[in-house]
Amino acid sequence: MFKNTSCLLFILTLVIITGCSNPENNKLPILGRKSIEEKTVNGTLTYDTIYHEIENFIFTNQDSMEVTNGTFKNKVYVADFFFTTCPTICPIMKTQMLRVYEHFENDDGILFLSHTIDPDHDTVALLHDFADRLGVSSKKWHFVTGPKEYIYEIGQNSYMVTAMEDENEPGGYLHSGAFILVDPDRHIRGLYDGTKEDQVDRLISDIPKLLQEYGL
Amino acid sequence: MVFRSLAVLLLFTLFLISSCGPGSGDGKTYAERIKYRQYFNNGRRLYLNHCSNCHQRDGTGLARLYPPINGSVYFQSNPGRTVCIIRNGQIGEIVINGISFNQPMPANPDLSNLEIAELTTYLYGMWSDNDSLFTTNQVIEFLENCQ
Repeated sequence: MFKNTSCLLFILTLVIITGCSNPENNKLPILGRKSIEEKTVNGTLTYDTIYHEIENFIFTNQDSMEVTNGTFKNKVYVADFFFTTCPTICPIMKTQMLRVYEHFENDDGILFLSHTIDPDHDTVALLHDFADRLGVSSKKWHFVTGPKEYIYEIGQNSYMVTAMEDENEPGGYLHSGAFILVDPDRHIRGLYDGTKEDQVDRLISDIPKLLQEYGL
Repeated sequence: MVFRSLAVLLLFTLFLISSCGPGSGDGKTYAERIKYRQYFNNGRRLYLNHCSNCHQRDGTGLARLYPPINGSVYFQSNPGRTVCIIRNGQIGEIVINGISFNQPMPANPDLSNLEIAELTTYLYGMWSDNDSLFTTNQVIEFLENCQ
């Protein structure tokens, strides 16, 4: 009798464990504040969950081409904020982002988007030179510039990261070292510290999950 | 008898181990070796704090953005210039091992002459054949002759 019970218990445990690795539960979460919207459809009240999403944007990349949300249509992308003369965390971020780039270089489902937070200095020509020296393709990795306030605002409101001028910081800017993973529906699906190798490893293992979810 | 040969073996192993690593051999006294080790270790700490973000931990740099120190003839051939670049930074194009680099390097006004001596000792101990100790006086002399 006792043996049977422990056997049952064992099977139950197995069921619970395998239940956890259900692929549905393996989906990356949608990050950010969400709101519930009431809607009346055919006379009945329904509720819709509205997730936080990246707002519309227009920037200019290292080839002087316009980069908009449309550029990332049906693509997963990784975004970050940096400036080319940053002496502190940017070189590590670029080293780490290059690692992600090289990992997915031949994967058409994913793109990269780096915003400069020092557009006065980081001109299109300078971004072009920077990308060229990094050895990356402008089709896959966009280095973009635009009006300063606009870049800070989209960082703050859309990507949920800090980017601003601060004369007390080395290099003159305070900004987050985050890498932001965005899905084709403009939802943020992951935030990673781009200066930490283990977090970037996690990003590298999360990207295929998102590509799979969208069949990319 | 067995103990004795074991002891000899142990001594021999210790000798082999102590003769490894930078700052070894070349007629340095024990005190000199200790001092070298101290400079080298402090230099390593300074390198990781101030330099490795760009030049990478292994000194190989990043693509054509940040030049290598490891394997760079430009670096190996001129310690005086290295010391000047550490203190004053570097602006403009430089060619290293046939590749052009043009990213500004910031100056390091906060590093003391002793710290620059330690850092230089580490750099040359790691990535050149020169495993001699750089003294503060040498650094001062190099800095007086910066271009």
